[in-house]
Amino acid sequence: MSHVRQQIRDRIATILTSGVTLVSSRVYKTRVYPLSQAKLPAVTVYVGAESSILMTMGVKTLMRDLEVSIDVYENANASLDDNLDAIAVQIEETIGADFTLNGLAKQSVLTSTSIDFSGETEQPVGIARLTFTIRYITSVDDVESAR
Amino acid sequence: MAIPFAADLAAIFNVNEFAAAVTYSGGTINGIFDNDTVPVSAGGFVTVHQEQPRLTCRTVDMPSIAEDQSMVIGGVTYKVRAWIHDGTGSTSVQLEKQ
Repeated sequence: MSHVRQQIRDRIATILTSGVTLVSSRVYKTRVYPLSQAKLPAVTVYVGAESSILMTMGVKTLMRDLEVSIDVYENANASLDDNLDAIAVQIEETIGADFTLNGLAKQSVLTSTSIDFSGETEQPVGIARLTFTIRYITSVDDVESAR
Repeated sequence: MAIPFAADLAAIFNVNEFAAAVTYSGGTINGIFDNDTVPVSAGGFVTVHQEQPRLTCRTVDMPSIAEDQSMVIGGVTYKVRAWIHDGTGSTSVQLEKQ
């Protein structure tokens, strides 16, 4: 077993790999290396900040809110913004169809979207970041099992 | 004594020296074509590596430069996206691959 946070990250990457057909399975978890043009369009998945509070006193469970950033990388001469939105449609609908991430989470809510562009190279590059807040619960002494 | 910039530029932008022939605006001009791969950051966690085509040529060869004009360099078509005149007779043109 592994931390539920890792299981969530793996689950999201798995469902995006099959569900976001517009990136042809180019879904990377926690990628730290640059993307070459041959790898575009692509999606990267990162887990970021997580906050937690004690939920119950008796059995001592933690309610956790985990931020998961899903970045979409695309390049195109025209329709760059349309392409990014089309990929965002597939991401949102894929996660929406697995709202509890196969029972790992209580909810997976899109909490922000930001889009940026650069026109410095041979084709414009656009990046859309979809941030989901994943709420999940563990006991304090077993963080490998979702409750 | 006048500094012979024009003669220097003619030597630099010579296809037998550093320059390439560029099809532009119904004719041919000479320019130095660079196409470095550079990291692009547009807000993601990682950068994207892409080529950055630029053409440096004589300003007098493109008196009516405008966005969306086409250039063919080495058989590849580019569109003019932006340009900078350096004030001494040469111009750097930002290109977009088509």
